[in-house]
Amino acid sequence: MWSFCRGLRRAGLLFAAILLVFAGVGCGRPVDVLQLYHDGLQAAAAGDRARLLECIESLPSDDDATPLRAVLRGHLHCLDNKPRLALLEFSLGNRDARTREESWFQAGRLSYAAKQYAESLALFRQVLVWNADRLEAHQLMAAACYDIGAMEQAIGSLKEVQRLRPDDFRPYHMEASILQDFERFGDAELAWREAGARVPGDSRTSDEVHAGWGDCLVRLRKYEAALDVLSKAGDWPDVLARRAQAKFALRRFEEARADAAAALVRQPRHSDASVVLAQIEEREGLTDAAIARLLEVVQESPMELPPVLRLADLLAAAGRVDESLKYRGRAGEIAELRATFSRLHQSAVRDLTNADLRLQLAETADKLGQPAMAAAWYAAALGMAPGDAGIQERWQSFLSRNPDYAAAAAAPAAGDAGTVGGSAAAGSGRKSDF
Amino acid sequence: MLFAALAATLFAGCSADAETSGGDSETGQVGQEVTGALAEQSSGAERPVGDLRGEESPSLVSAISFRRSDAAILPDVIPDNGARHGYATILESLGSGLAVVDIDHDGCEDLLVAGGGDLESRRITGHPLRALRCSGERFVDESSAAGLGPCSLYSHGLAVSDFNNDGFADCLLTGYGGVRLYENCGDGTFAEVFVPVLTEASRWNASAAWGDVNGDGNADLYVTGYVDWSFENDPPCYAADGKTRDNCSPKLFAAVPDTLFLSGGDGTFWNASREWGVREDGKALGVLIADLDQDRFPDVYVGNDVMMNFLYHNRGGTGFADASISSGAGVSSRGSPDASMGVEAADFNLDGLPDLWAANFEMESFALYQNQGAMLFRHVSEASGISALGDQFVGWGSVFGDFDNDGDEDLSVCNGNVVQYPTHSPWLQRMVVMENHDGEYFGDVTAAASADMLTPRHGRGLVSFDWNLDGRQDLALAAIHSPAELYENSSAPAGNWLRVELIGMVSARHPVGAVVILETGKRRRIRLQKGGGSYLSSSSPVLHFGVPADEQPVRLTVQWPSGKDTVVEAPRLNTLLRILELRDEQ
Repeated sequence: MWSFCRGLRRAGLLFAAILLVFAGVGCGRPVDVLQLYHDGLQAAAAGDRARLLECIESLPSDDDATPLRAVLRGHLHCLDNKPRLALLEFSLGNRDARTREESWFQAGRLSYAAKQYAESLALFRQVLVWNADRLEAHQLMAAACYDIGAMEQAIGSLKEVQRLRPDDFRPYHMEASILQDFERFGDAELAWREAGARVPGDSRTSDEVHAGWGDCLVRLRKYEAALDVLSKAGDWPDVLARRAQAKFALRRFEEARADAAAALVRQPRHSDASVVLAQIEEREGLTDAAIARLLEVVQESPMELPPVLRLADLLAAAGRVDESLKYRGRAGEIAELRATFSRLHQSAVRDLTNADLRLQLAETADKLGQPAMAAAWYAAALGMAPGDAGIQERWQSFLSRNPDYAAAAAAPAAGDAGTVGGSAAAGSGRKSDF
Repeated sequence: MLFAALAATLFAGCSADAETSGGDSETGQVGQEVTGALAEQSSGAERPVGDLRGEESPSLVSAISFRRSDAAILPDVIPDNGARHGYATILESLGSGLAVVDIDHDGCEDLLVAGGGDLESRRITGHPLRALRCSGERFVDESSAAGLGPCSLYSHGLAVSDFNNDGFADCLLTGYGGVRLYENCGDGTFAEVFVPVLTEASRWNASAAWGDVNGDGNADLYVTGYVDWSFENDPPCYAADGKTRDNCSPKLFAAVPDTLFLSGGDGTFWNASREWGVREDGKALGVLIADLDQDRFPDVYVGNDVMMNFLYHNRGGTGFADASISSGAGVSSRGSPDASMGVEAADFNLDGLPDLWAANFEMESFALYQNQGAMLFRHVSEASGISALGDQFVGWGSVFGDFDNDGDEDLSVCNGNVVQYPTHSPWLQRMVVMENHDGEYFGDVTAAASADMLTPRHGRGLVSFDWNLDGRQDLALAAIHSPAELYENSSAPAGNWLRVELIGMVSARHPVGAVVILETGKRRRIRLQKGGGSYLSSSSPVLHFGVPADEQPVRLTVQWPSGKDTVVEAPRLNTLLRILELRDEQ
């Protein structure tokens, strides 16, 4: 479950995009109660508080309209950042045939925003029983499943999104990213291909899709194809490094050198670019220079495995056996941590309710020097067991060392429950993105 | 917390309707002038081979060529795996191997093929081991005459050595249900020998390898253990459609331990696995014994499925040091474990140090580990052109050999998928022949070498030998669902050759761990006497040197495991050298 194209994928942005609620027209002149209700929903989706309030006030005050009014008031509370009140209002519409789907969906959305994954998943499942074509429910199901590491289920939901939105590149992009995280490169390639066929050209997202796709092809050692795809991505350091890797494997050493050097201009001590350049330097007999280069990289990123391994190789080639063994030992420790992480990650796929498993993932990611990923897993653990004192204690300990990640697991106690796209994934990057 | 309680209360009962799914030098001077007990040279000219040094020799470039022999040369032998019953068990995925052994010492090497087994009515049974005797012109199925009758073992692998030092090569058969040891009676027949301690091998064994690891002159035995599958522990696994049964991943099963049996030299063995530090957590499929650091004590390399490969550094014949991590030979270039099947060793870059090879699963690069000395290895698949093969192959049997006699060792791998309904790479896969370009890099020359090798098949076991004694290394493979195949090397003569057969007298008779060094005026080349290697298979023990046309041998040195050295000055080309190790008194 290892992925190395940090920065290439913007999962959070993607989810935020997927989760965009498309606005419709506002409250028009009411025709009937149901029309008023639907106009109110559209106003809520558009964030038009005044129109929403107008619709609510236009509804009759009889019992028949109570569920409709409650759901609209729920939306009003959402706009006012009052999720608990919103939930109470939505609950009043949870039995009426006209409002139950919306009521349960909004409750699920609020639960997801509060990182109450189990509750949100259960609510979305029920919504989908009533309406299997509810796009947003599938989207949020995918997001919630992703957040807790339930990758197969996330992909299942994305397949539904693809069914309902066949021309949209985003669910394919997300599927490809998830599959690649799980090193299912063959499946990922297929999803990248679909995303690539749908993504609008000449856009940053197009660059991102082609960068991810090219990375996947390099992993598959389809070097020529990778170079073709990567030519359509931006000249980002990661992309240049992938081109360098592909060209090195194709023995196009001079071109590989140029790409690696270009990557290093943009990002000095870029790990993969440095490794390629060091290997080329070694071929030219510049072993000491190659060693010095990788020592710098390893100093800056001590838990990055490939440069540690290549440094150990170079030291052995230079006859510096003891130093080589030292870095081999470190590589072994890192590899062991990564194996532990992979094992836990696989378990998380199957065990959808185990908060302790998520906590272990967070702590292992932290040991691997991946605070963003650790924060995402802490968020998942906290979301599953918000009252667990042990998890809270470790989270606080993590935060004391990494205060920048405070927002990652912050549930909106009375905050912006409407910003559903602010998932752990969105805030903190991928869960296995090394 | 409050929010969660609120949601649970207000929307109670909401989860009911839907669910998600988821050696002191002793210069023996054994040259071709010396005959008799110490050395004998037989010309390889029993069959015309032409003038391999002729001025008309074509260019070395892409000289490798193989011709598939037909049924008139090699009778149809199809190992069974019981797949026809439709249980789709992981047991069916391992397949069968084969072994090269000169059963009757007639100089023409014979073939043994593991018969596999059947799963009818969920009963795991075995098929007989098959003996294909080389008549000089072709192979003849003489299984019955060789005493190889019914076999209850669902068999996979073959490991050949002269375990009792009587001069005749014996054979161990591995499989599901234990191992079987067959003693060569010296009259062209085998007899099964029951050695009680061998029942301590794991229930499911894949490859095995012989080699004298404690230096007492007797061949010891390393038997790999795979996983704890049984029909009682056979969870349903499905193809991508979620409905069709397919073979399970080994990830679903616990590992079963490998076993090291030390030989007492009198037909007895003891289980020394713990004493020697053999790990119990491997899911091993391939094993190789060879002296990787040239300290005269053979080391062990184990190819594990879905986990790190093991490298055991032999500590002077007293035990193993686990060098799996420190050596760098346990993981991929990115430090992650691969799923390895076949393993091999050779000095691919002609620096005098044995390098390691592991054939891996699809989407993992085959791994070539360059020996840097001091038991340190580096993954060089990318720099050596191996990774450029792509991601499609699921590799098994692997052999290094100088197929074009140009002085460097080329490589052949047979491939085939493990699942019946793969989504990424084909079920049936072609072979691969990689030409070594002077130790610098490998290029895939399969299409040029043999159109037949491009035929997709379920390749598993692979061996090399010179069946027709023409000085060119041939290949034989065992596949699932198709007959064993013989590929006769038809490469244009690009150089000369020298074949060397070692006979240990102080070292074990089959001196695994010996290193043979051939020096010419230009280069120094080594060959390793190996135990095991490839996958489920044993190649010829005869070592093969290709020698470029513009080079002449100056000296050949044998470094025996006993610590002795034998030097042959100016060995003659295009001959087979049989070299006996000298005892102190000789």
